[in-house]
Amino acid sequence: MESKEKLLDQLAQAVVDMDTEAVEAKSKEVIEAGIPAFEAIATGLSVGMKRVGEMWSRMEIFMPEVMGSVDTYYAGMKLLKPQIKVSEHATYEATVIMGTIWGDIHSVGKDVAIPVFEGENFRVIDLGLDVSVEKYVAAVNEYHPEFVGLGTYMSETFLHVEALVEEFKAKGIRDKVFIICGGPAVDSEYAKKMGADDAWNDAWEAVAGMKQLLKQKRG
Amino acid sequence: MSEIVDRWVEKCIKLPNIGKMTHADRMRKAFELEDPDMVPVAIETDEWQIVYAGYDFFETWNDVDKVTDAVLKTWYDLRQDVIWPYFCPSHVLDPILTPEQRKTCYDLRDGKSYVVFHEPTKDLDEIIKVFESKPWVKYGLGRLGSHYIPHFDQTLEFQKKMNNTVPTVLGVANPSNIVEWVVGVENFLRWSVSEPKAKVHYYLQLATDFCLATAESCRPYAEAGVDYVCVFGGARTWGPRQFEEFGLYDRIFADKIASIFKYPFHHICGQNLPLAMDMLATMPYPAIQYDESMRQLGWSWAQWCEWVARLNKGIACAMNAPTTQAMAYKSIDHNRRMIQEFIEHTTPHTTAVIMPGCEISVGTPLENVKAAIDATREYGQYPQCKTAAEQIWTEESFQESRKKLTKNLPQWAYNYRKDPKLIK
Repeated sequence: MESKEKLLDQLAQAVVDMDTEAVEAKSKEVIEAGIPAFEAIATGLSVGMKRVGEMWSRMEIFMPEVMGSVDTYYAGMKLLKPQIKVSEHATYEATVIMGTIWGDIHSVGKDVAIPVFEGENFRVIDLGLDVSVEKYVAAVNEYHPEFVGLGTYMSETFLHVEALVEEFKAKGIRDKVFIICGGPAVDSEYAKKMGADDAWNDAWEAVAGMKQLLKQKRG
Repeated sequence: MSEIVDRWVEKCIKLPNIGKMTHADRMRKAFELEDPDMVPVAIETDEWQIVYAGYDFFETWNDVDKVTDAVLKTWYDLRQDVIWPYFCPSHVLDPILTPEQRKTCYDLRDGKSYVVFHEPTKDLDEIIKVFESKPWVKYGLGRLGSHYIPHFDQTLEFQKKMNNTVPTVLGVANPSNIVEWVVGVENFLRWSVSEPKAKVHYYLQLATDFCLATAESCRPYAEAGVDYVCVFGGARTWGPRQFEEFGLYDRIFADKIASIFKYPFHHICGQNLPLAMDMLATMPYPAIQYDESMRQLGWSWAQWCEWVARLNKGIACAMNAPTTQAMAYKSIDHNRRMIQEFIEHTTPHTTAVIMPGCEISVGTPLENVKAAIDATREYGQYPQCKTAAEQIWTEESFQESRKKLTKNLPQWAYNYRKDPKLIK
C-alpha cells in the first residue's frame, strides 16, 4: 500500500495528466485505505485542479487540456463523493448556485469553475445552461447560497445580468447573496454597474475574489 | 430584380464619397497592403442591424426583404466601408439537420435577443453519422438556401447597382468552426484530448469535405464580383497540441477559399494565442480579423495590437478594434481610445481595418457604433496615422517575444513558411 501522501499526490497528478483510468484506480485505493473521502478530494483531486490552474496561468496548457483535467476530476469525484460522511459536510466554505445565463448555451467556463470551486471547499449547485431568472430565484430560495454565479460567455448575454439583479431586488433576495459573473465577455467594472458584486475572467481568479467578498462580509 | 434593393439604390446612388476614395477602393487598398486615404471601417453589424432597423427576429425569420431592408438601411445610415449581410446560426446548422430538427432547433425568445440554437447532438459517433448521411443532399439546405442566399443575392445586387463602390461580404464557416459549433465547443475540446485521434481526424475530414464543397458552390459568386469572404474560424481555444494535430484542415480550407476568392479573411474571436496569430500568418489570407490577447500575457491593448501588426508586416492587413465587449458596454471615450491605439500601433507596420473581433451584440448602443465610426475617420487619416504614436516594441524585442511565444508552431505551418510563395 502506498503512503497516504504519495497516494493523494498520484491522485492529483492523474488529474493533471487527464488520466481517467489512473484517477479511478487511485480513488479506489484511497477508499480501500480508509482515507476520508473529503480529504482525498481536497488534497488529491483538488490539488490536481490547482496545478492545472497554475499551468494555465503560465500558458503551459490550454482549454482542451483543462477540459480533459476537469473530466478526470469528475471521474474521481464520482467514486469519492458518495463516500463523504455526513459529518464532513460541515466544512463547506459557502454555497454557490451556478448556471449559464439565459440566452447562452456555452458551458466551458462553468464546467471548469465548478471543480475549482469545489476544490476550494465551496458547495456548488449546478443549474445548467440557458438558466432563466425564475430558476435562479427558485434556487436561491431553496439552497440559501452565499453566491449566485452567472456564466456569461457572450457580451450579449452579459448584458442580461442587469435584468437578473432587478428581479432579485423585486423578490427581496438581492442583498442575501453575492452575484458574481464569469466568462470571457465579463468586465468587473461593468458588472458592478449592472448591480452585480464582481466578475472574473477565470475560475482561479474567481476563487480569490469570492474569498475576499466572504472575508468582507464576515469581517 | 428586387424592389427593396431598387428603393435603396435610388436613395444611395448619388451619395458623395466619404474621403477621397470609394468604399471599395479603400478596402481594396487595405487588403493590398497599400495606403488608403483613411483606415476603412467595417464593424460586423450582423443581427444588430435587424433590431437597429426596427424589426425583430420573428418578423424577419421568413421575410428576406425585411432582412435586406435592415441591412441596407444600416449601411445608408452609418456609411461603413462594406455591407455586412445578416448571417444567422440557422444558415450554418440547417444543412446538417433533418426537417423535423429544423423546426425545433432555434429559439427566438422575445424576438429582440440573440437567436439561441440547440446542438443536434453532443456525441461524437452521432455527429459522424450525421455527416456521413449528408442530410443536405436528402433534405436540401434549409434556411441557408431559402433565407441567406436570397438575402445575400440582394446585397450583391445592391453592390452591382451601386457600380461596385461598396462591397458586400460573404460568410462561410471553416472546418474547425463547423466541428466545434454543431456539437458545442466544449465537447469538441474534450474529444480532442480524450477520443482516439483517428476518430477525431475522421470527423474533421467529413467536416472539411463539407466545407470544401460549400466553398466550391460559392465559386459563381466570385465570378459575379464578390471579392470579400469572411471565413468564420473555430479553434479559438485550441492550444499548440491541437493545432499541431488537427490544424491542417483549416489550412486546406484556406487554400481552397483563397483559390476562389480575391480577398478572403479569417475571423478568430476570443482571447487569441500569439501562436495562433503566427499560424494564421502562414495561411493564404490577405487579412485577419482578430480579437483580444490571452489575459495571461498581461499585455496592454496597444501592445497586443502592435505585436500582431508587426507579425503581419508584408503579409496581411490587421482588422480589429474596439472589442465587441467595449462596444456593448464601455464608454464612448473608452471605445475611441481603443480605436486610436489600434490604428496608431498597426498602421506603422501593416494596413488596418476597424472591425471588432466578432459581430456586435444586439444590445450594443447606437451611440457607441457611431462613435467608433467617427473615431476611425478621425484617427485613421493617412499618412498621419502612421507616425502618430511612439511604438511599444522594438524590432528586436518583438522578434525575441515572437520566438518565445510561438516556438511550438505546428510543423505543417513551418513547412508552408519555408516557401514564401505559399504564404501569399
